[in-house]
Amino acid sequence: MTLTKDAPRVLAGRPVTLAHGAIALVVLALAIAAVTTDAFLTQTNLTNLLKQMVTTGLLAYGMLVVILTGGIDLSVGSVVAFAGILTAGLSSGLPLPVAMLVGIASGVLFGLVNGVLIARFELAPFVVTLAALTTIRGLAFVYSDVPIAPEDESFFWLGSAMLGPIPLTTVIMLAVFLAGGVFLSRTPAGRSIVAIGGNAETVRLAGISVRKHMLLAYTISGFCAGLAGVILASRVGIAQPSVGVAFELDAIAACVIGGASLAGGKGSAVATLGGVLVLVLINNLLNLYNVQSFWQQVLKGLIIIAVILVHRASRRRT
Amino acid sequence: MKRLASLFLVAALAVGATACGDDSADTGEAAKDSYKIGVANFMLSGPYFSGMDKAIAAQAKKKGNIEIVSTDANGDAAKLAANVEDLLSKNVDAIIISGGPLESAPAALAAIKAAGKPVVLVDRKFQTGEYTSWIGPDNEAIGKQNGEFLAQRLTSGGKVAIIKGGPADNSIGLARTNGVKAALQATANITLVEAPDFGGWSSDGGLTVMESLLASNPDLVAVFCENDAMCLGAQRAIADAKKTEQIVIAGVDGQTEALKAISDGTNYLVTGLNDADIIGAKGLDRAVEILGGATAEKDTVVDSPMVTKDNAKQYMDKGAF
Repeated sequence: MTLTKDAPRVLAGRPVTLAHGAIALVVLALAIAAVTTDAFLTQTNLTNLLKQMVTTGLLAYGMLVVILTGGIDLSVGSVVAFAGILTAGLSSGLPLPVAMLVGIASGVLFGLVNGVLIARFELAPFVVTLAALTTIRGLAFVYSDVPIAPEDESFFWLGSAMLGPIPLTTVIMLAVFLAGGVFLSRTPAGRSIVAIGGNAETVRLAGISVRKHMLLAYTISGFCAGLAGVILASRVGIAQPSVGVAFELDAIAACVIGGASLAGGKGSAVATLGGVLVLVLINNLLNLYNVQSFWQQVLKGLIIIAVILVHRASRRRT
Repeated sequence: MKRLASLFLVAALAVGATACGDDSADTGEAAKDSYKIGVANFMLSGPYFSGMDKAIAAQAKKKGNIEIVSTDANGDAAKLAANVEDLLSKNVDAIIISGGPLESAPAALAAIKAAGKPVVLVDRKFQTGEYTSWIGPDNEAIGKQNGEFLAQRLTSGGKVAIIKGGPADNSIGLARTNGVKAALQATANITLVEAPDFGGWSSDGGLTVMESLLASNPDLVAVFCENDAMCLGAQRAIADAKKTEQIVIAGVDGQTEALKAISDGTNYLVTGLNDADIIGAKGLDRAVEILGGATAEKDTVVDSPMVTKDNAKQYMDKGAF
């Protein structure tokens, strides 16, 4: 993942400059933050940033994989809710680790179903995952229409454990990005996923199964959403069936800020992580500057547009 | 656009007309003994509102011979209006609207009026007078009650944070916050800090907003949230920041988990009980009374008792939502 001087000009199917752009953006945002507000460089605030990255980060990696194939996964927010409430519900009867694994597995299963419908039946990803968004949200409410708050203190552990100054959940997210980055750029399966988004026909002609890799992409997204749901429930201490509405939008925004193309084939894990950081920083800074919530929404939208315009301009130059 | 508007008008008229027709057929049997009552829920996704829906259904079952048709608008005012029209076309005898800002959908209100059906509001009151009867809490009083409790408790003053829910339920939240502010602004050496971002009425929202607040205001001594769900999230954020000894919490609603936290003697000190069971049951009773021909009180405020460690057990056992 390191960008050495003799790194290939093309990494995971996109120009190296994208990662540079994302890193430059993060550095810029950090510099502005550090100079203009005292509260920013406090340990509390930095820990907050690390914690608040986790959900969006995990969802963004899964979303990236799907976007690379030229698809989209709108169901992730609902999967977060389902995985969380299932884990909290099961934790009263099953050992906690088992309950958590079942929660994650539910995400994998939903991803698999999405993948089958999209890859096997060739339905449009937008439609399939939009239908999944409402179906899975409904299922979360069917499972429990009231929040579930596990009594056992150990339920909170995953969400609040710290490894020195770094939250455990952040380490998990970074591990996903590290493994995920290597997967996309160094393994045949990952490279095939990127290639499908570039030109599915070529991939088919090269004798690689497009269906299998599409299925894999949606399953990865489901896994990430399931993991994010379990972590979020543990962090909040209460699982709510209503959690996660519009989470998919932040995940997509992070990918796009990181330079991923919704047409597929373009985007990288590092740049997406940069996108997540930018997004979380925007939220954090607007809060520290005490910008009122409605204006936060306006500014967030405008900043995303500005970032994409800058990307576009720099892409033309290269 | 014009075409759409006229289409909508025609649809509304049609609904009104059919309802009127059925109505005239019904005259003669002034007080039936079995009724069909439609419940239009604005949003079933919160425990308070789903509790309300269940309470209405439970009360109907207790009374017997009342059929309940329940709908959910998923927090969408336009959907709520459509649901109301659906209920009218199912020829319900009365409609109960739970938590909905239907005044923003005048067509639906006009359709109810044209159909001549009584409409009972539970929880949220309309600004317009176009309803038969309303039963709900006094949100400003709940806020005030919390504010007075905090003022008494925080003898040496300090910074009190306010976490707001946001636009989905703004008039209610605003009333609660105004109540708290009214009580605390009168108190010397207490400063109020309003979180710039909304907590979205949810625990994860409350958690994130509290984390941001703690970063910019590490010296808080108390936090008030416009509902219990957000406070429960805030409580986790405070615990994670190891400030449980420093910051006390005040919420509104009486969500089960909040009652438990209060009863357990945590830093969650107080909430105002909005008892969905009571409000829902009274709402159904009111609708039935009106159908039976009684003239009902227009506005009924249901008390929201203050819940602290002293009396939390008693409300928990009652099994509030």
